[in-house]
Amino acid sequence: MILLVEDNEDDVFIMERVMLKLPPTHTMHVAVDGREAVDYLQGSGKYSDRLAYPIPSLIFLDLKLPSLHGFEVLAWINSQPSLKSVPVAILSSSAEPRDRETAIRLGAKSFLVKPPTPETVAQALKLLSDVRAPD
Amino acid sequence: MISTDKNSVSTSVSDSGPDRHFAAIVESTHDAIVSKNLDGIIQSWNPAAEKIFGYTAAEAIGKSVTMLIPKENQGEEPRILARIRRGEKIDHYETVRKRKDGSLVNIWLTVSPIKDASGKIIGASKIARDITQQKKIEELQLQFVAIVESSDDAILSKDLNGIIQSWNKGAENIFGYTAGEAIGKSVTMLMPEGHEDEEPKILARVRRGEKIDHYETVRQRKDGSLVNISLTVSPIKNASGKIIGASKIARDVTEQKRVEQKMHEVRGELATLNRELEHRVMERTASLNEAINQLEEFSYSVSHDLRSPARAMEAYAKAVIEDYGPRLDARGLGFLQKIVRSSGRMDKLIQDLLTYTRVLRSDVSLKSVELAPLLRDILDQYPEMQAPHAQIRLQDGLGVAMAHEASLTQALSNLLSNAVKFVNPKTIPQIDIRSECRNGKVRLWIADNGIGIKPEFQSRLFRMFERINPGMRYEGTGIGLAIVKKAVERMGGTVGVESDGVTGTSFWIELSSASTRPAQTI
Repeated sequence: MILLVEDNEDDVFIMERVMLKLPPTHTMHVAVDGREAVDYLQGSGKYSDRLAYPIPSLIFLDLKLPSLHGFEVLAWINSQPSLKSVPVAILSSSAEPRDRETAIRLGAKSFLVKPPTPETVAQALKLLSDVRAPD
Repeated sequence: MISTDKNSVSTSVSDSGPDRHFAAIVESTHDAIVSKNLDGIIQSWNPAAEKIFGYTAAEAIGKSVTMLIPKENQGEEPRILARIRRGEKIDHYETVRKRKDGSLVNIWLTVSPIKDASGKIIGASKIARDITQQKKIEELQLQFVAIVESSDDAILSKDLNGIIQSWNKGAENIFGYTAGEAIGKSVTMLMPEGHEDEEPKILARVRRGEKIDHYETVRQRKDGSLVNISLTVSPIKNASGKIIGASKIARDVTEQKRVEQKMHEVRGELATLNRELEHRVMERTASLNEAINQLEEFSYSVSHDLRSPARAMEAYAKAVIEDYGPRLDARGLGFLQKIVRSSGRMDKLIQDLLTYTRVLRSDVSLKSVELAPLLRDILDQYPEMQAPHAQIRLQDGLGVAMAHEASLTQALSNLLSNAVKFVNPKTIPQIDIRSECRNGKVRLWIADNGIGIKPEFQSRLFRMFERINPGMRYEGTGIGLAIVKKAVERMGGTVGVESDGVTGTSFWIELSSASTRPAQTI
């Protein structure tokens, strides 16, 4: 299961199109802002049903988000022992070196510049096997 | 009896007559004692005479005394003899005589007539004292006096009670008292109110044999005005080493003080001006930094907000082509493809503009960068720069340049992208990358087999928004080479191009070399 944290519906559309072109090995859930992402990940409210809303195996995280900025979400994820092993790939509109540096510092495993393409997303999905390998 | 003075000899011979006494005195005195007859012929000659003039008694007795007189003084002898004949005595006559070795000796001469038992004058006794040493001391003393008198510094001496013993011209000039007025008075007359306690302290230190060096204080002139002085006080010792007084050298430092004060004021003014300037610079730097920050924020938000609609347009147009393409005619598909290309181009333009502004504002710190590994990393990132899409040859040992890695990567990526892009259809891009070192610079060449750039276009090439190949065939924003130029210039380097407009293009980037290896020959 992949969690996409993205408020822009056009970008959600683009990601969905990309996923359609990849082997259907993953389902995707969309959180439309940082707050909802945190709710999902800590299982509050309707998200307490872990069968319907399981802990994702990869998170795509936009940076410019309403309510909670992407970096705040990233820092929070990194502070949760139960989520530490979940790889986070940043999806950003810009290739700003400072954003890339901050993302890596806060624990992101990958930094993609929008729009995502089947190639770049496939590359990010490879993180899954890389991260899981030592287990 | 004790011998105390070299000029008077006492002896302990007691059981002899007066003649024996005189003989002993004559033999042991330091003065030359000689007798001569009225013709000037030497009759007797004591040991001191031998010591002073160099002749032994045997050599001198029977000779004329004129042998002792230098040529220019020869006139003296007849006059002396004439006076002796008249029974006169010549006392402490200062003159010059010649030694046996020809050297001259300053002497004090006393000549007295010698009378026989009947009172008749039969000759003369001469007592000569060597005063050469004394003369030298006198000359030195005169020199010292001249030095002291000509000095601008006040030089005075005082005894251990502080009573002034000597007073030079400089002291008169500085303090206003003449030597006559000052000598015999206490130096305390120079101490202004509040400084009276200085003299006992100075005297106490002088008594302990200490020297006081460049002590800055204030003294009062005869007219009551004050003078800043720098004082040096040294003990004066007598021949046996006992401290008997002090010499004082006082320098008038009023002018110096005034200059120092002025300099202090000027320094203060300068410091104030400097602070104001720094403050102004800080203010302006702050407002400049604020402007830069605002610009950065603007760029940042443009990159996010402006790219988003362009991206969406492209994505939806592509989706229409993919999902509804079969239902559209060629004309409709063509329009959609134009939307895809235009929105893609718009997105590329925004990205290039942002890259350009990032190159403009980023900190460019130089370090040595190995060119070959950097180029391999760049080539690895772009599929279109790899076989079979392109043939790229890298010369061995491209060298090491002083560069900012991110900026150089940006510049080389742009040049290589152009090299693989601007080729004739169906041509496989062939790119040669080589370098040459000269004059401490490394010049990296990127030569392609592309469509070339005619010489008349080359001067416009690196300007913003210049596109030499308009139309859709070769896509470009016209910013790529402006980024290359700006990035290289920010690293202190230069860029250039060579092309005949037919057989490809060679771009070069020149940077300071970081290697001391000999130049590579191609």
